[in-house]
Amino acid sequence: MELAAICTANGILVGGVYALIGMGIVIIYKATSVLNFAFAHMGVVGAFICYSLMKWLGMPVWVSVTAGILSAGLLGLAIERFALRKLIGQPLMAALIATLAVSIFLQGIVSAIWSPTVVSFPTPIFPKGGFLFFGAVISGNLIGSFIIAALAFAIFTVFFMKSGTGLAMRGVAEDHQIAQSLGVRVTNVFSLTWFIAGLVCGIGGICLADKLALGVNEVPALAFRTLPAVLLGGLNSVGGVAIAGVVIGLAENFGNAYISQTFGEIVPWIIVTLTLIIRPEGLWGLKRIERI
Amino acid sequence: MLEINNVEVKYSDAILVLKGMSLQVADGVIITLLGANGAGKTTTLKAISGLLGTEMGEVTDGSIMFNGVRIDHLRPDEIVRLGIIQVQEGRRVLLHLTVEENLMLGSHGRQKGSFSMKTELDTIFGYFPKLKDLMHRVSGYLSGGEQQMLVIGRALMSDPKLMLLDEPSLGLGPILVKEIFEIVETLNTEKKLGILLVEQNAKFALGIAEYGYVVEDGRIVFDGSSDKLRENEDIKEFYLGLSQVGTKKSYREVKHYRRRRRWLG
Repeated sequence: MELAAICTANGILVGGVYALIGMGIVIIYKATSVLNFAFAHMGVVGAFICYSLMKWLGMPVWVSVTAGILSAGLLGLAIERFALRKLIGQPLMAALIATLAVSIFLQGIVSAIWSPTVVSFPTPIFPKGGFLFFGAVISGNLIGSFIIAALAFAIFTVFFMKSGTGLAMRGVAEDHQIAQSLGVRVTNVFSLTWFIAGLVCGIGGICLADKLALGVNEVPALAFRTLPAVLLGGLNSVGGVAIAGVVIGLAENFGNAYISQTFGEIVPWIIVTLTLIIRPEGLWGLKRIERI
Repeated sequence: MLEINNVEVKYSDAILVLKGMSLQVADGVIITLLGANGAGKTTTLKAISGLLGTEMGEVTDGSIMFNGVRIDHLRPDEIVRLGIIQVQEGRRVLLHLTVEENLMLGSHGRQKGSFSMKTELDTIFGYFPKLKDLMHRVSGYLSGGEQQMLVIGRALMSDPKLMLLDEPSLGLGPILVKEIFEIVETLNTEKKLGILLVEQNAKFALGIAEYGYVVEDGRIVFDGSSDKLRENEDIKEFYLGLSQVGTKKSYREVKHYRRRRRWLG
């Protein structure tokens, strides 16, 4: 019973981070129809910049964290501007491969600047101690990460649903030409989308790096668990990815605890495969509205 | 005042669609553009609104002036801000957004704080009372007529001086077409809105327009006041479907291509 409580709590908490990173993937997919494979490495860069500010310049934690997140956002802007802008109107496969190329490029840069070995933040971002939760001990990192992720998720959701810019983003997500004909500058919306995606990847990267360790391969290994969540929720559903993130987090933790450590890693993919056989657009993915 | 002078449009640097198009739309009047499929009517509208760019099209010669400003190389959002809005054919609503959200997005190009969203929406609902009841409905599920009203209403939200209206009657029943045309006429008289109307339904179009142009193969072949166009034998035959005596003609006896050749030369 205690094990189940731990799994549930851990699953939900880590699921929050998956949901947040997943939102970054979903908004880019919605706006530009590009599946961004560079998301994990954008997060790594943010985490390493945060690390450097703390370690080399001795900046306080909150300054470093904010700067790390912002720089991941700016990195997103740069990727859109320099790698993808020229590919607008080209086959989508080209853009998708470009994001893969960017991720490999970032991996190389990070290995070159920071050592390819694993480091950890000089001061932990979240308190290291555990908290008691229905008789189970939960790490401070998981709780802190979840709160930050949920907060960011809520803020961005309100922004998309309530603000004029958010409305323009949703308009562009649906049809570029219509949005353009109404006076929306579509390329600006692309930039903004990549900036926001960069921010959430930065938040996710820092949370995950604080959880275990900061390494050029270690953080992406964790971050890539977002992909099954995105596919499960539906590539174009922000709400879907929130629920699917938690589902995947739970599945992973229960798989780890009750079957075996390796099984926990594949159980999300088993769930996704089975789901996609029945619903190819994901559980909450939008279907085209067709009046008959 | 919109002036199009000798405009040439190419798609993909290869396909010449407009071959020296010239026309004028004075402030606050309805002008119609008639022509067969593929004549270049929609391309003309897209050249004005700047939407050619998304389709690999480009104005390669000539100029488009709006109130003294040259607009043929401006971005679509800049052109919207100058007061030209295009209503594309085929009722292009944003399917997954609600009616209200569609309308609100229509005002995107305007300066924030220079207008009250509520007043603007109420004005639109004044012209299209049906839309008020449907405000929170997802627009993909509206009927064809409602969607057509929505796209016209959405265009009005940008506070335009000139509306480029592409085939508003497409796929709508006669009663709805009449209703839409009446609203268009009202907008013209009440808001002093200039309208460049592209229509296959020449009878309705000439009914509300002051002046008309006939496009054939990328250029204007004929123009004149609506009354003059209505009386013209060729227009009657090709666009109004009437023969000289004013009765329905028999298509079997007409040699279309011969009479068309005369214009193309």
